[in-house]
Amino acid sequence: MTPTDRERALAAAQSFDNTKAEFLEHEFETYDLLREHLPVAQIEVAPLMPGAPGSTPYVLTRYSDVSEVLRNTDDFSSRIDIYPVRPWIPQAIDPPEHTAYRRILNPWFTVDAMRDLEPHIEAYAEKLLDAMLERDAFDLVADFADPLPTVIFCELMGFPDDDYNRIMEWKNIVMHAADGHSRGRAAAFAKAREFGLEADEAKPMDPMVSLQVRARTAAQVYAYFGELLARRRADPADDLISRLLSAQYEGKRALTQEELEDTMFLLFMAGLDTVASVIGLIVRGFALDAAKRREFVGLIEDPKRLDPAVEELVRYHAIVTAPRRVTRELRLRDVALAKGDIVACVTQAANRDGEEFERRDELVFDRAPNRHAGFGIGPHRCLGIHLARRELRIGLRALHRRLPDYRLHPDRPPELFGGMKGVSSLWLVKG
Amino acid sequence: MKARIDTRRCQGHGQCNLVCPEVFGFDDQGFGRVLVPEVPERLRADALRAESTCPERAIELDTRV
Repeated sequence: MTPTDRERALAAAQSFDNTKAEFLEHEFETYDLLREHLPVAQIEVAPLMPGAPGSTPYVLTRYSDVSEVLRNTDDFSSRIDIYPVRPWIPQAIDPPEHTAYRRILNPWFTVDAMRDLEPHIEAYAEKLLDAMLERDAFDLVADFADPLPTVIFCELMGFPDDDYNRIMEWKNIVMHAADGHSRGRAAAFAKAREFGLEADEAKPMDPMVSLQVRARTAAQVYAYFGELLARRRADPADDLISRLLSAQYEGKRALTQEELEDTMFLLFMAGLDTVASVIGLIVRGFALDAAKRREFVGLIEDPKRLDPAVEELVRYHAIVTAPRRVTRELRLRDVALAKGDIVACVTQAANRDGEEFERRDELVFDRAPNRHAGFGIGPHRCLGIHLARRELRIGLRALHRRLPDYRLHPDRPPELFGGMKGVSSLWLVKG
Repeated sequence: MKARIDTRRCQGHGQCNLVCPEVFGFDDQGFGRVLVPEVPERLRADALRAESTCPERAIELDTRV
């Protein structure tokens, strides 16, 4: 007897773990199955959202559910201990405190503020391309997608240039120790040795060892932030660290040392990882689909067409699964949820929901309307949305002007990682 | 046609500004702000597109006027 669709969906839920790179091979088939037959899917693999102990994760794949949950901050809290680090501000905070923190941060990330960065992003993109395109084969992630947003962000933040490698290593350990990211894995094992922890590199890292590695790495990051804050207190500069130091919470008081560090932690992780991942995924997609790439190359000089095309690429290549903690007993569709349960809002899946998006699995560069959840929905909407859009537009345009034709390197396949998914290595050849 | 933004819903995605910058701008916090409440006839189609593409469904257009 062949399994029914619902049985197939239940089986998919049982083995669901989108933190693993292997998951990406059947990612969208799995989302389709769940969306259609098990829209509130209880999953068994706990690592997806290491929330409160004993809590049961549910996965949401419909656009309507994802957007409703992300808007409803009363019933679905962001207060989740996700790492061996303190809650990030403002990501892991609920209104009304969340609103107060965002009021501090919002003015620094407006369209106008980000527009001023444009010439600089442009110049830096060209500089990276000059170096990368001297060769016929190159790793687009290492040479372009990673450094472009990272260096721009470090400058905005006030992190010294010399710390670039150290910062990337920390970020890769905290975010990517165990999701298939090759450099994240290597860096985590190196740290384990540094800390004198036992770890066999021939096997996946033991979860408890991984937790310790990330906890102690996070402690190093906090210490680094502490040093930078002390330096800027003594000698303010025109950067976000200095602005945080003079910020007033609700106009009443300065931020505490913990608040400063926790905000920096969020900016650090969100600023370093996201745009790099999306550029990697977009270019990999274009390497595999020359017709789509040519269509894109044909529109990059027209801002009226480039803007919606970038929105569509963000819809198509969304990377975030946002967890929420249920605050009271309630029903979501036909499923009874208990206080403390974790629901995971999979924006990747919501963005491919046929109820919301026609031709959902196709890149439609002039898609209208396009109410995608790629930058999130609700009060936690991506703080850096205008920086991200600008980096994507400028980066993708500069790249495709200079390199309209490329394909995957025949001997070096792309390396994908799960979780906040992306590409850790993308070797390309010209032509 | 009159344009309004429901400030309880708007989260400042700025999609309206991408589609119809003459009518929809931003306040100091980056949330949407109507620049021209009376939408000129020539911007009608753009304003309608802004309304339909808002991810938070925060834009209200009164088409009776």
